[in-house]
Amino acid sequence: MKLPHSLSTRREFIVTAAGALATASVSNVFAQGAGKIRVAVIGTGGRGCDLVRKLSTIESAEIVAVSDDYEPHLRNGARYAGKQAKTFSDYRKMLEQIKPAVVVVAVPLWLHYQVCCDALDSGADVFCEKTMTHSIEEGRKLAAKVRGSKQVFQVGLQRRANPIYNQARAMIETGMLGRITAARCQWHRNNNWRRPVPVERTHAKWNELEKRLNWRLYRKFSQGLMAELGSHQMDVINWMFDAAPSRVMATGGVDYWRDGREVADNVFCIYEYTLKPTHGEESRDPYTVRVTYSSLCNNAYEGASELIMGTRGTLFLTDKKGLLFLEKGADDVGWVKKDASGTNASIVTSGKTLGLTNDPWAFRGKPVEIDNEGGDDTREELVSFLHHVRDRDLQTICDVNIGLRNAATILIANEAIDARKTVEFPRDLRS
Amino acid sequence: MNTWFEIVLPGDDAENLQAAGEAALDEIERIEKLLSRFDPASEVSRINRDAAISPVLLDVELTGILETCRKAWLETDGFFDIAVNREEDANFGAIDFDPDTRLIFFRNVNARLDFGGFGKGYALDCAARLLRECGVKQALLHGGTSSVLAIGNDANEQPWRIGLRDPWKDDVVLQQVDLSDNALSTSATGKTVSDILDPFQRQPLQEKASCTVIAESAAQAEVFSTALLCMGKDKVASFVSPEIKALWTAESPSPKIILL
Ligand SMILES: NC(=O)c1ccc[n+]([C@@H]2O[C@H](COP(=O)([O-])OP(=O)(O)OC[C@H]3O[C@@H](n4cnc5c(N)ncnc54)[C@H](O)[C@@H]3O)[C@@H](O)[C@H]2O)c1
Repeated sequence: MKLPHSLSTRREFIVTAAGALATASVSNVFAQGAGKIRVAVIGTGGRGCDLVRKLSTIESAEIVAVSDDYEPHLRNGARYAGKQAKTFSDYRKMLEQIKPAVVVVAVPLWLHYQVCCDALDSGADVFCEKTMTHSIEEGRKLAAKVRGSKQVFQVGLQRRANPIYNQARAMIETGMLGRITAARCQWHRNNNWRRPVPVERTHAKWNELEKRLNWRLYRKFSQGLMAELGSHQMDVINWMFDAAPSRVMATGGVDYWRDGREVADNVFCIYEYTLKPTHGEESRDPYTVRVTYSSLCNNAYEGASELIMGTRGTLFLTDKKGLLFLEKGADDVGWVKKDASGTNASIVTSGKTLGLTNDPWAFRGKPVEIDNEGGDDTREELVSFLHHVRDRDLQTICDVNIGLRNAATILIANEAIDARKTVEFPRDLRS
Repeated sequence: MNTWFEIVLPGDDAENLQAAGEAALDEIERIEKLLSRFDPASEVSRINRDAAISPVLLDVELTGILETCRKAWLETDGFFDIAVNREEDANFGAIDFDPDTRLIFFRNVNARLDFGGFGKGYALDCAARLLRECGVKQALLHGGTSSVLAIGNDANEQPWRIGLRDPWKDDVVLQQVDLSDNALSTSATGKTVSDILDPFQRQPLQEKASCTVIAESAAQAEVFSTALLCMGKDKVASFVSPEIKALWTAESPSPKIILL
């Protein structure tokens, strides 16, 4: 398994830092280092501020500017970025005047393409929040532009930097789940998915502000639940399967929050993947695996998780904890007993008929836990990105190809919902 | 914090108030993720893990929080101390912290930060700021009922009325206090083993008492209710002012609240 950059180098850092400390006095250690990477953040709303806060704790970065065309959000960005950061309401002016080495893009989805292109044109390396683009076409163009440059590019799918998901990937790769046969994931919540509007409904600016703050709810700006939530989890699937889907059928609608929103408040998808057998299987023929995905805004019972199922085990994944359940083999179900020689099995008739029950817990052994013993994955993804920038290493943990494949994966589901038909994954993006 | 937070938002626009309430609760969750000692992904966990090995770079917000806590440590003669813990011999004095470079370093390897006596109040202040930015003019917020913050007045344009319970008996209200654009925090001992430590003895407080502080911000109220309870009733007088009011409850002969 190739570890994300930051995870493999952190240990070295601690060792060298501790060594250095033995000779340096505390005041020397507190002296500010030169040679920091000059970072600017465009779009300091909810996510942009998260990124600013994390960036400000990374030694190799200096936030030189923040930009947002909505004053209250620009103010927030400036507060978290610190005094050294210049503020701009016009990001183009910022690119021109500041010439940052790195641009972090956290504007609403419909602007990702334009802002990323402008940032690349300014010569900067770019970190773009997920989902990479609002349309597949934009994604293709952006990918071509990045490939044709020598600029470092990363999409903000932070599970790629999360130790739990990296561990899961390694477990699958080594065959611990056996043959992957299915997956199920969902992100279920129970709220109206609205941002508050700071003026009364009667205010002349209400409409404009509502659209700006609640861009997520409108088709022109947003690709709804699939882009905002589904992208994270379908990226996990593409990553764990090391494949893109071949097609999707999907349905969804505005069925509960009938408040003027245009994006579905519930979506259900079935994806098909064609996988090649990898682990000790007799047949080498490709086979089909189906994955269900759902997202709700009116019931939170299931929360957010991914379940990867194989013939020998199941992985339950969240960003805080992973659980590996091994399938019960015939010899530990409880109604099969080996004879004295340990070779021939015989059925014990007085035993329980566990094998016939539908009780889900009957088949789940005690899971093996995968903990995240430290580290915030958003910070880790940024640390990793900045290492790649420093090393001029274009192969980031979530590069433009992964970003494009992810965007196409979620966008074909929305297409399927609109057209009420099965939609094929674009052929040119499959490998 | 592992605490139940609630927000009361009077008004007509239910849709927008719900969105505002959700945003405020998200903000509280964000603070929890920043300050929790138990979440390995929190900033405080990162500091506690690394700061005795080499200096750790803080974000701007945590730098501000540490400045506030250092000031409180000095102002309360060391009775408010986010670096005290029961197992190890360390206090805020063992912490090097430079607000300009935003670096923190533990000179004592046993040092650890614990925002247990600060986080709830601070989270309420942040949630209140966000609600005000959303245009909210009336709200009551509380964390675990021991920290309470009021924005404006209640739906009847009266100050929000809060009942102070007998700390040792459920459902006995000893006194009412009115809040309006200010906050209150209660610290008490004697119901279960106290989680408030006397920084000088490094022991849970022994005396059965309760201290309620009313102040401009919920963080300030929490800092002082914690510190004043630690230092004991007799020392409190020098800390109260027009901005900071303190109410003290002792058990004997019968629970009674006195204004200090
Ligand atoms: N990786 C994650 O976990 C995660 C979480 C949340 C959001 N996101 C992504 O981050 C992006 C932003 O989402 P958000 O929740 O922060 O939305 P938001 O609405 O809170 O923030 C977007 C900001 O962009 C600003 N903006 C719009 N046009 C601009 C322009 N021309 N120039 C400068 N600023 C402009 C807006 O004023 C706003 O402040 C989205 O793509 C979203 O999917 C990712």
